[in-house]
Amino acid sequence: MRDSRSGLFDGPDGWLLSPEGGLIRCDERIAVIADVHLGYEWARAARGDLIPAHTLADTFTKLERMLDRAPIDRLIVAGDLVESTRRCASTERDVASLRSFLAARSIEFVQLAGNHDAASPGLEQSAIVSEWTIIHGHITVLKENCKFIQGHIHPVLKASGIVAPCFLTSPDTIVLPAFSSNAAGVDVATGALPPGLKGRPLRCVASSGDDLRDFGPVCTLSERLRRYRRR
Amino acid sequence: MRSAATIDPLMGIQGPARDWFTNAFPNGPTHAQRLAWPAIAAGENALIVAPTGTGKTLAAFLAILARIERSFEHVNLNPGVRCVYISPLRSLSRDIERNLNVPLDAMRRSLESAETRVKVAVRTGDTPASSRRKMRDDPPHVLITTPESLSLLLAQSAWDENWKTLEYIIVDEIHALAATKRGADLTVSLERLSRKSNRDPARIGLSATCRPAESVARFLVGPMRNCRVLDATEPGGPVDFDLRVESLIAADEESIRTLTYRRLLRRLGSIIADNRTTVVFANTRALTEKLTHDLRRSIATDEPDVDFERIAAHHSALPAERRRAVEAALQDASLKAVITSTSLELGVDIASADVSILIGLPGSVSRCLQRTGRAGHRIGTTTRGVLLASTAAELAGAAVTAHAARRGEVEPLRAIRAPLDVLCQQIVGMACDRDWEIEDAYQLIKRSSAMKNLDYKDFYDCLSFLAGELASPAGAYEPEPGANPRWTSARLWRDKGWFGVRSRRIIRWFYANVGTIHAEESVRVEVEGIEIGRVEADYADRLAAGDRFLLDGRSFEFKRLKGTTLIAKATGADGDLPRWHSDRQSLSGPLALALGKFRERLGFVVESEGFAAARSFIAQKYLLNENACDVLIELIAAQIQWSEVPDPSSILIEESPCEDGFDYAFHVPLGRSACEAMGRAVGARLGRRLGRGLGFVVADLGWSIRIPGGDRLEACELAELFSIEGFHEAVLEGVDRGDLLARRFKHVASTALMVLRNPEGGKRARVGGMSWVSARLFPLVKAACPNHPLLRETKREVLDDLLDAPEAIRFLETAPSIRLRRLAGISPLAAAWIDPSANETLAFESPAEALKRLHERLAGSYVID
Repeated sequence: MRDSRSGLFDGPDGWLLSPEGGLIRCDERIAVIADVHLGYEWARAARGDLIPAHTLADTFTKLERMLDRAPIDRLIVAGDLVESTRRCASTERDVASLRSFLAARSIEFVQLAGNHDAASPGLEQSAIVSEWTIIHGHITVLKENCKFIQGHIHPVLKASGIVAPCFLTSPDTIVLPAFSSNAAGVDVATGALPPGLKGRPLRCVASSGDDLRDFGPVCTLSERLRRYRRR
Repeated sequence: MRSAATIDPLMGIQGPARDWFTNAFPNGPTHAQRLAWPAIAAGENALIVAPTGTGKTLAAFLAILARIERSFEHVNLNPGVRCVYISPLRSLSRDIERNLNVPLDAMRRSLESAETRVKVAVRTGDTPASSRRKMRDDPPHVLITTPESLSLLLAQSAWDENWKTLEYIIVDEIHALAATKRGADLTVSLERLSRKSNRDPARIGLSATCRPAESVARFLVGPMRNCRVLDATEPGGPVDFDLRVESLIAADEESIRTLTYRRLLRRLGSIIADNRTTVVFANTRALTEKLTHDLRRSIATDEPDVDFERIAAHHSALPAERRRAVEAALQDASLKAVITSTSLELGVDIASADVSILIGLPGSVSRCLQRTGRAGHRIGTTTRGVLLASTAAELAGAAVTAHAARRGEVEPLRAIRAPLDVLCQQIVGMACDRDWEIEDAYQLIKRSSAMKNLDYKDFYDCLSFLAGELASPAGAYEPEPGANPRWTSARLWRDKGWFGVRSRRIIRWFYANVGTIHAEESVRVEVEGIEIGRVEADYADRLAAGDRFLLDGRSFEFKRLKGTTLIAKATGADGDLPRWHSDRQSLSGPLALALGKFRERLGFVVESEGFAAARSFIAQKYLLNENACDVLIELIAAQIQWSEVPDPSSILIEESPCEDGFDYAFHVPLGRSACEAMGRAVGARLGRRLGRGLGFVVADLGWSIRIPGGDRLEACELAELFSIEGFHEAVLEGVDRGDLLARRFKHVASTALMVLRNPEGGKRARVGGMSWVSARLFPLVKAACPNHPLLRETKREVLDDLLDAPEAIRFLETAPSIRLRRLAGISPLAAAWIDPSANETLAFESPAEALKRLHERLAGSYVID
């Protein structure tokens, strides 16, 4: 299942999962990430915190690692590129830096709307790649039986003091982990998934940062972890 | 009558105040008052040490009121504050105001004036904005306030005029402040306040028994001033002090909690029936609620003469009005009993209580005296206390606590050295007031006792941090190539040797976040739709499927987190009965040592002289009855049979198998903070060898380490584990491997105003979750600025205030013998004192390795599909 050369993990229907939290299609040279939350520190600063700026640097580091695994021509951000829902000059500077980072590598940048992107009205709600619809996931805009990719819920695997971002995958669904290291997420073993994801045969693929591991069906995860703890 | 030959007992009190006192107290002043008045009238700094119920309030105030009153006679008194009274308890403020109005009112009547000339006002967080403005424009002569409100007033330049006339500063309950960051903060505020006055105001501290009194006096006045210690306690410990220890369990019986609980109820019922008013300290809120409910019911049937409606609960989660009503009912003796968690421990006067009952251990002699001192609180009455123990370990702890309390062996206070988070908050407060020359600010801060050893570099680093100019050392994490970390929302500007606040916004944030007390963010815990309590949000955030946790002594299994509600299910048989045992609660260092010696001595007598001799040893020295003696002898005899009683000159390690490996109980004759230092050092060395996570539990007199998997401790490696060489590094590593630093950093960041408790707009950025500060910001600051002053402060707090490495090393230097015993199961002493649910993981593998191992073990035991 794993491509040992690039560290990429085989997902459904030709999608490759990267340990950084992105999806890659080598045939179309496209990558999809979600929930970057650029300017998280500026949003906290507006409420009074005095902390080091870090999100942009962290984003660059992760993108570079991901781009080393497979070359791409287009990067789609499936919503929540930024943290602040209001206009924020520092965040805008960070977004401009990200754009030049990508332009310098000749990568086209596509931004989809998320619930945090209110300061950039008029963004597309969805995009389609190889018959998969890519959305943020905060509002449902899907037709029945369509294959889709979403972000928004920041899934994580929690167990024995470990917190690892994870993908949720099924033959027709992929939920991306947050690309931002600041995002706390929903614990997929115990937390409630949104109605649109319920009943789907999702598997949890968790990232250690360098590689990905399949932890099996989400629906039995809680019971398996519990039995493991009680052994 | 005054004559040359006798000393005037009312020396220092003149005029109408004198007349009032003579009338109101025909028996004359108390010892504390006689000592205090002349010193205060002479304008000296003084620490008045006196037990509760010895007229401390008047001891401090009457000479001051008399002086202010008399100054009206000469001139028309200029407006301005003459005396500031600071109490750690907001609830005390109203009491004090009421108590002062009695003499003031009497003086007014004797002067036949229409209104009292000396004005008193209370300024706390509860004071409405209109009164605050009025107070600023027309200041009272006596201002009653709290450390936090004082800090706010000092940040307002509009108050500057009002302080010029200040002559006296009174700090009440100073023993409760001395060894805390809140107290450290207050000492800097006192220096700023003194600077604003035209003269250096006299400082008066009021304290219950404290040790050493000289260091509390130093805490009050700082390194530059003199202070008289006026000790009004009786030499050789309190006289008329009746403190009994009773066992709720009998020898020769299994401890069954429901049975013990029924005995507890019956015993409480009979004590309450036999006394006019009883105060019961129940330690936890859950037990307070349950006892109040059950006592009302059982007293209604067992003690028909007692009106069960006259039993009330008092804890900090009750609304303020309800608490005040209970306090008022206590004072006018209309209550028969009050059950409290710990909230009645300080301050509020319980005039009529005859007896204090302590359920479980108070933890220290000073708390024991504070609690038992709530009874017999009138001048000249006997203090009566009963300690009720419900396990053998608790009984042993109670015996040594009571023994030390009878001898007045109050624990020494450990002063806090220059806390940098407090410093940051003070610097911001000072800048809100006005612009400062950096050197001048440093010199002023250093006059306070808490900051007297403050290094200029530490001070300057804090300033740099607050100005957003803290640089990374070369080689540290670089957010952008070549740049130092950019800091958001800098608080200060700094220029040409001066600093000041950046904007009005910073001042607003300071007002909303002043203080060093941090109510933990918490989540509600629900079991089957019913709220059963709250746990720390940070803690809740770390729980995962299958994890168990304790709440008010009951065991629960985590099900899921839904917003700020934690859904759980109860586990264990006694699910609805809170566990009230505090036998595993930490004891003060001296008490833990006394307990270790007691256990060993008892073991020796049992083995060499037999049960009868052991019984008379305990009965004579610790004043326990025969049944209680037998309970303790039984525990020790079982330990002798199963293993051995640890000898205080050695280290005993007991191995026992557990569900996924081996548990090692380490017995050393040290208090918890020294055990924590030594345990972490040993854990670090073991973890280094094994390269994997270990379970660590610290206790009094020892700790336990769990090694999962097949690995075992070998006798040949013991000497190395306890080696003095590299001990400090090992302690530090043991701290780093756990989550203690991250947990403490959260509080440090909050006190230093790095992360605001009350953010602008009231809402926090939700994306980061509840534990963002400890889980994300802490490593981020470490990477960006490894030498950040707040990281240094976190480390200082853990190593100096929470852990006691020097004590651990002192013990290791005695070259104790180390013995390892392999047992078939956990020994009676280990089971009694080490609480396995307080487990912390020491991680010796990277998160990636841990995830890999989890994956392999899950895959190994169960088919993943």
